[in-house]
Amino acid sequence: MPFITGSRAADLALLALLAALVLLLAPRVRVYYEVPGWAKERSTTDTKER
Amino acid sequence: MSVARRIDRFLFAPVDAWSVGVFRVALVLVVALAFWEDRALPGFLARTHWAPGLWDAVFRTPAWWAACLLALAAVGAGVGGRLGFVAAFGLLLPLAFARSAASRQILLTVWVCAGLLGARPAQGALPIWPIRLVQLQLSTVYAVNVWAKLTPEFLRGDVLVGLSRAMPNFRVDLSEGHLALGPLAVPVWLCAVGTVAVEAALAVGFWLPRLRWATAALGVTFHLGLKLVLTIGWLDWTCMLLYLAFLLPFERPAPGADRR
Repeated sequence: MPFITGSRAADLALLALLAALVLLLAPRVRVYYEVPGWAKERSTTDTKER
Repeated sequence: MSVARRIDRFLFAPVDAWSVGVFRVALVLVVALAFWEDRALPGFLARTHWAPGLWDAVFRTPAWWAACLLALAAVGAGVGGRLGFVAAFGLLLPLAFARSAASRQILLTVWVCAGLLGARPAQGALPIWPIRLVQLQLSTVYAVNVWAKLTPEFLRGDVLVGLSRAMPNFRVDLSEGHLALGPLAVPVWLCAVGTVAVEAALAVGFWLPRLRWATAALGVTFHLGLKLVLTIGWLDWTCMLLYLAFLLPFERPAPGADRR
């Protein structure tokens, strides 16, 4: 089995770190659906992207 | 095959170098276009909340952009190995902290994963797990959206109606309770439920090998259709780029087997 760092343990540690980052970033795209009625309260300049 | 061995194979199977190369070039193109678009944003959107002066003086200058493009071109051409990825990452990172930069942050995470596999695909065997992370990223984005939309307000269509009234990035007005598709008037609640159903299918479908291409076709149709209704920056193209993580043959065929 090939490894990026040279060892399985270090690869798994790096994988866990990056998986945490992935899971941390994904919810950022949902912000515009969270609160019903939010649209009237928020600045319209925040909506170029989800 | 034991569970441990299956997990081992899922994470540490050798990755296919050709697929890594194709993905790298596609990623460079989407990253370049997504970040380049930032130049067109008004200053107040493009800046971050911290040190706005630094943004105008450094990060949004032609020199900075030239450096970014140079680094991206080097990675795209396979020059510089992982160092090229690191240099481009360092240059792009400040730009990913502007407001409304969620898709750029996702792209940079994918950039890190691609960088782990190096810029030169012929450097020898590397494990497939960075690609698994990209796959996880795609499914998580859809799953999070489904979870966030599973509210009575959204499923009734109330949120969509409110958004279409208030948000400048909506191209349609749903105030009358329907979306006009030519002669058809599709009820807003059906649009809302349909969106959730499609995104749920996209979160799961890619993991089922037999459904991968059908899921990709559904996703492309969904995102292109979405572009007719509202503008959401580069998230659409980012998601469609990530489809490649499932569609390209990243799992290297076993020795002696022909590539289909």
